[in-house]
Amino acid sequence: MFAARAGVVFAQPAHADQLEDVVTRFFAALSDSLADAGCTLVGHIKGTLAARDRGDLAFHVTALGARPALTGGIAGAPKQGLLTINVIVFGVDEASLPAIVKDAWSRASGAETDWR
Amino acid sequence: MNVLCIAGVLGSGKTTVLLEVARAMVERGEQLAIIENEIGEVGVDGGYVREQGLPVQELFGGCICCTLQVGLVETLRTVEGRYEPDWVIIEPTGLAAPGDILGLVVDNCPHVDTIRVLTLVDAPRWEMLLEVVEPLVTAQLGSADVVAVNKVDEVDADTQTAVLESVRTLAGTAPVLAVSATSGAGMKSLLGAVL
Repeated sequence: MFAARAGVVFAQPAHADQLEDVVTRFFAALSDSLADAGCTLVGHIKGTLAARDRGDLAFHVTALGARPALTGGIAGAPKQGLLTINVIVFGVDEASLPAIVKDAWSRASGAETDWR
Repeated sequence: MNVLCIAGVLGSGKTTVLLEVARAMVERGEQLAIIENEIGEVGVDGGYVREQGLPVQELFGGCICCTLQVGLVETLRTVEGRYEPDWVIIEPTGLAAPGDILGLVVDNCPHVDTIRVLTLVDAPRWEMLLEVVEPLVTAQLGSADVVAVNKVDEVDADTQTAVLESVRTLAGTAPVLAVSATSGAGMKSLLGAVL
């Protein structure tokens, strides 16, 4: 299980569709990495990307390779946001899970990310 | 004060069903409070539920059926004092055994009039979950007053029939309903069964 928050700063202001693309790429990258790490079952992978006063984008999946279900949305084109992520999977070494999640986010978003 | 515990394996749709039940309670003029428990140090669901205008108390960093038992009892007392609710809805983690929560509340919360357990089943993943986490699934069904097989709109008719039959063998005397919290199918019957 891995649960964390992170401050996120994108290289450029990102519109809603770009943020949804980031989340979709993140899940694709994370699915590949979790499969490689021996994941036998996804409990859930869920989270939110929030931009102050602009709303938030919630996302979740319960299967590797699935497109994330997205709800909510972010108005305008924020450059910064707060990522909250909660990952519960089976079959993956617990100690390696944080690095897997962080690496997938980094590759998918290209954003400067401050994990807390 | 009545308590409804909405149990179910991770990803079974607990938060979605909780919101539907909560809306129905509000429409009936009932006062309610919600207790969200997440096993991680950082929660996701509590903030989402709060955004829907519902009063939420959160418990992080453990499970109320085991490591956070004291926290649950204290939180129930807190919400009773703060909101004077007719109903408290508890959403435990997807790894919780609701039977332990039931026992905890009965033994330590004399101010609770009734406690009911609604257990959700994830229809599309039923076979896989039964294979990987059977003890958890069995425990959750064994403690249920009502069972809802959720996401039935995501499986074909044969699969739905097979899942319902399989679930009924594990659910004892609890009624087993087929629902889809997102499409609304079967939700009226479910609300009638739990409220």
